Amino acid sequence: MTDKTHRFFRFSNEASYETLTTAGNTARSLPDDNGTERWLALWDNTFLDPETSSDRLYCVKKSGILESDNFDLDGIEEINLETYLQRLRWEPPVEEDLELLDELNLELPIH
Amino acid sequence: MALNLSTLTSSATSGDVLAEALTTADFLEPVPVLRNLARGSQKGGDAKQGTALNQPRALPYDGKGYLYLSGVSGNYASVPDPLGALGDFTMQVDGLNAGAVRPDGLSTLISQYSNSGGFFASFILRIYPDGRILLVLYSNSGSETLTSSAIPTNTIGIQVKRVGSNILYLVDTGLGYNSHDTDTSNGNALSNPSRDLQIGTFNNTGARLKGKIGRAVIWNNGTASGTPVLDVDFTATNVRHGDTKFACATGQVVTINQSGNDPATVIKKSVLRFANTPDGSSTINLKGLFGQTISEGYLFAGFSVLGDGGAGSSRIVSFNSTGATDVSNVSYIAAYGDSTQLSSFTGGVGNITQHVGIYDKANGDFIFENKFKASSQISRINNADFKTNTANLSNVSTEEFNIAANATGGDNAAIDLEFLALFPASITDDQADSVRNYINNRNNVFSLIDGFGYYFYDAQKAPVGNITQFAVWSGRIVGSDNGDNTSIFGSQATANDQPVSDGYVVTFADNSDHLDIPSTTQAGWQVVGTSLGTFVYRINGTTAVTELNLLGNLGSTAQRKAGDLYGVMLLPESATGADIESARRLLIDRGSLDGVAGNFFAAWNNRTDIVEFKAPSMRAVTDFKSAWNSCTNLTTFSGAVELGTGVSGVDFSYAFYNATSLVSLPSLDASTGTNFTSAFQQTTALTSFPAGAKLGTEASNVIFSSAFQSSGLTSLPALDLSKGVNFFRAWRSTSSLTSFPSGAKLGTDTSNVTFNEAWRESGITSFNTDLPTGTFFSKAWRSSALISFSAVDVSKGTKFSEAWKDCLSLTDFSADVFTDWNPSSILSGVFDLAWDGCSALSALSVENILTSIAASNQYATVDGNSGSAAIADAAIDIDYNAASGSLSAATNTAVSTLKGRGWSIIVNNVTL
Repeated sequence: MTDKTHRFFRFSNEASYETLTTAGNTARSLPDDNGTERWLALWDNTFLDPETSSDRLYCVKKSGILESDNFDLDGIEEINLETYLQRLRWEPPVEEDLELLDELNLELPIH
Repeated sequence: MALNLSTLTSSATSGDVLAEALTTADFLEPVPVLRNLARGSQKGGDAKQGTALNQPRALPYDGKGYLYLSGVSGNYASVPDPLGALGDFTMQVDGLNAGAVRPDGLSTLISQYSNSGGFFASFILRIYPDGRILLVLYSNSGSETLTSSAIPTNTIGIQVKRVGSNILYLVDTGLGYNSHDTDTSNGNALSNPSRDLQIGTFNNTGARLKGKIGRAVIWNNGTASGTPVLDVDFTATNVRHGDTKFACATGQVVTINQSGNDPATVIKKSVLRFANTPDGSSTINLKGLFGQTISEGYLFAGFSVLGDGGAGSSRIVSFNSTGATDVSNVSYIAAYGDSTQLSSFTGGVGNITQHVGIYDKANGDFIFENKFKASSQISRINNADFKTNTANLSNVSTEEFNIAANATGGDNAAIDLEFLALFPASITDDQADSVRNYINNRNNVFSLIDGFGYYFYDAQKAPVGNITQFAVWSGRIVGSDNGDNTSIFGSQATANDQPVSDGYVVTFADNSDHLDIPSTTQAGWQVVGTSLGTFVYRINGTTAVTELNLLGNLGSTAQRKAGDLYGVMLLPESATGADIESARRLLIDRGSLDGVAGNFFAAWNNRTDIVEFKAPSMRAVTDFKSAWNSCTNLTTFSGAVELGTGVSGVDFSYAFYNATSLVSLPSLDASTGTNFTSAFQQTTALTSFPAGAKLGTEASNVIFSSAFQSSGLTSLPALDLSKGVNFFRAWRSTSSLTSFPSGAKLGTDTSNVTFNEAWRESGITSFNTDLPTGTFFSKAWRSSALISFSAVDVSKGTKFSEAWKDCLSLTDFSADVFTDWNPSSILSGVFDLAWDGCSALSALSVENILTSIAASNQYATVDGNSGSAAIADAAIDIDYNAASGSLSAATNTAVSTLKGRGWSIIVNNVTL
């Protein structure tokens, strides 16, 4: 999985995603007779963006992309691999040691 | 009773052992007689074939192994272009038989030559029938043909070296390589075609070799030194009998191309080859007389199917009455193959037992057993796939037997026979077990994987290309009672999420790739072979799994790993360590990484099906963050204990977070870890921690925040956490931890260490551990179960706000805790609410606190010195049990002293 082999997206609009995938399925004559029902995963099977808990993240193999595929739709943002992985690793802030942070800030003028 | 070779062939246990395939035959030797090894008084005759053309041929195991090549078109080994443009080179072929160095016609040893879609060639190395070596070299300026004199007839190895324009031919006749002849080349660099290198032919079909080859090696130098560019070693231990694909020593995937019913075969076991054609034009078989009448028996046959299995209703073994066919009602066909079904049969009744999908070359070798009695019959494949019948066989009465033929010599099976024996039907189940085990121990026919495993997703049996809903990957294993059904197919309907097979590995390209499998709850040992490592887990029988991915089953969808999968097996829970190791070794032999490397962030996160994790070597892993996070059913972590020790800066944060069933850990060596934040947090079943564990001992500035928070620890060894710099909440809410080791080293090899909330709400009742480098102690022991607090070293502390607040049982606070207090700075509120709510604290303890602070000679200033800037909050807050006595004179003296240094002393909410 690299930027050369894949494209990475953040989807914030389910309707746009459905437009993308429906057109993509039509362009590929899916479902076909070879056991493939759809081009991209169903919305619920893409990855929930842990930071927003509403957006979705997904990687698309470049080898499977057609020229006719239109990613230029509202709510479809292309990101790079690094951003994709960072977002998937995002965690809600843990309870910080506020006591320590406060003290470190207080110490700054001294040094 | 145990049954060994001597009893196997004694009259006491066997009157009718027919044969034991191959004991002394030479390579490709026609076999006219297969000796009956039975020694009983009722011993029958040998199996014979008087017509040379119909005699099976021996492919004996020579102790090392080899590739057998039949000389039939389509049978050769191939490797994707491994060479590059060769200048100087050494080409070597070992393990040749006599026929290979005196072939019937010009024969190819190795080549890189193709005229498909154009002309592409770099060389062909061949042997003339008279034994001369023929080397044809191709360069951009044309070709040249080089020839040696005839090599000795006892040559077993040939080596050709080119250095500049000098060609040297060497031969090995069993004494190592010696010079044989020389020649002169034009010295041109060879062409660099991106075409397969082929062993045993050129251009897929030309000048084919009939014989055997043990090894083919090519170096890109003329001295045979260093790592070769190609090393296809059929004698290597990772190459198994019957393999059709394997990774060779230089990493390339070798394919054994097979065609017809005398296919190229890697030989690692002695077999007797009955290479019968499908059209009935060959009648290779053996026949014999029992010398008595047989009406019942217990047959064991170890064999594999060749090509399409032979002609007609291909007989493996049949018995007939003298003069009768083997399909009459007095005869019995113990085993025949038809399409892919393996059956037994008797005339007038029909098929007795049937095994669907077994008579297939794809299944390799297996043991078929068949007990036939007058009113009951059973059969098994690899001690599984149990079939029964109660047909009436009372008419069966036979005097003759046939191997690979019917009574009249037709219906010939194409098989490699490894073992064949007929025992009385009266042998006990224990004796049958012993016979089966004897055969299996001798020939390694099947393992637990084959007979009793629940599934084996074998990458070599995955459909080539994308795995879809139709091109599914079956987890089928040969003869399994459990896995041989359609319910374990892996499929993927979404094009973008489909793994891809090349017939050797299944590649999962990204975190979307996975396969859907029908929901299963089988308990057992899951063995997973991948390019990231080879893993073994015990999985429970209660968590339903619906997905197969690179590391086994689903954990966290977003964190699926990418890589190559060589296979996934599920062995029963009863599998022994040897069984598991055998399965693991098979996958490693195919290329699965022995060990683990890389980033395993969240690799098994939320794998609630795992109950035991047998760790492989994980020395090269750089990131264990959340690796086993929320594996809520994980009870045992075993195996290798070195985690990331081969690299530095390893992250263990959240590694076992919320592994709520984990009851024990081995002495983990996580010495290069730098971050253990929440590593063992919420391991509520973990009551002890291994004394020998190494956490961050070879790192610096190590973080242990919340490392053991809310764990089930009841005791703790004197761990060396001397490189720790932050212990925020490290043992918070460890309510079962009643004591803390005085010898523990907490941040002692570093400075400015934080212990904020470290033991807050813990169960510790006393504390006696020096913390000489600690600077922050806010809420460190707040609301803990402390009863006493010893005179530990907290001399560098800059803030103790709420440190012992609400320690309701704290009675005894030792003298001299602050006597040596000498921090680099003092923070405002340093003692704010420090002993607030300590309702059990004795008056003596108040004296101890205040007199020791006074003894430290520290002023309520930013650096403790007189005359420096005062801190804003200089209060020393203490609550105590007034019933324990009045404040002493010494206390009052200390109060006066402290007030003179700018401190404000508040006891039981009264400012003194």
